[in-house]
Amino acid sequence: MTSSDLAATRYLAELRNALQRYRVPQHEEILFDLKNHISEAMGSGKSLEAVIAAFGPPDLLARAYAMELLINPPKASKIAGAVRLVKILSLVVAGGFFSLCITFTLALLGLSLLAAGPALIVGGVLQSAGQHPWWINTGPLTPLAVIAIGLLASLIGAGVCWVLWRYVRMTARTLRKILPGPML
Amino acid sequence: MSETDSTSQLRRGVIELCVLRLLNDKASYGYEVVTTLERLGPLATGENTLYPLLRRLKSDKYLETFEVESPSGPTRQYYRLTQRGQQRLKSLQAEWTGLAQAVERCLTHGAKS
Repeated sequence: MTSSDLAATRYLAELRNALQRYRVPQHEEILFDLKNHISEAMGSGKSLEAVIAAFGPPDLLARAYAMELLINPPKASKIAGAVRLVKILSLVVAGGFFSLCITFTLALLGLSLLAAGPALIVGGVLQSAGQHPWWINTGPLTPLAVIAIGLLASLIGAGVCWVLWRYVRMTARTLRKILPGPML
Repeated sequence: MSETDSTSQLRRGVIELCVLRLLNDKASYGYEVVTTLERLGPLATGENTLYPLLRRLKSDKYLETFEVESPSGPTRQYYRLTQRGQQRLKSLQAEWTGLAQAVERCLTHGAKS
């Protein structure tokens, strides 16, 4: 690799970073255009320094692309927009009801177990100390069994709440992927 | 704004029209468009203006690209007008003609125009 190749590669790498910083789409196509330009210009006798000087600093060039491509984003076709709208409506109608059922069930189960677990542990500890609080009836179970069930309920409750949290995050991520972007 | 800036702004406004007009005659690749505009003197435009413009025109579907093997280097990407681009050219050309005539009348006759 010659020093010219290295300089061109370095310039294009800096430009790629700048394009990413400005969130300019079509990186590869842009770099392809400019690589071709460098090759054509050098083939016609221009020096690499002159070609790169004509492009200007990578940051300014990336900003010029951002001005053109981000201020005037491509318009979505009407058909693509309609398909997208149908997808979002389907997601809201079907997914919304399904999500409501799942969220409600998981929240009810998780929170009930999380509340009941510590209560059972406290009840078991009190029973082992010879006290029988009115708010807990453990039947024939020994205090140790009550404490063990309380621990188990707490663990299961925490697990269900964790599943609920993961489910909510996954749903939010899915919505974020689908909702942004051009509509009709 | 200095005189140079004014000229630059004016040129920038018409450069899209000229690029569309050039590509309406024949498909061309970026470097060729740059050198053609250079030959036209005041229409010479920097690569840092032309390439982003070509990308935007393609993004707006006024241009489409195709690749052709080059005899002396990497594959060339040619730009050509789409049907939508031809309509855009017609519309810009009509706007420009009206504007140029109005400016010409104004410059020739001043307040009497």
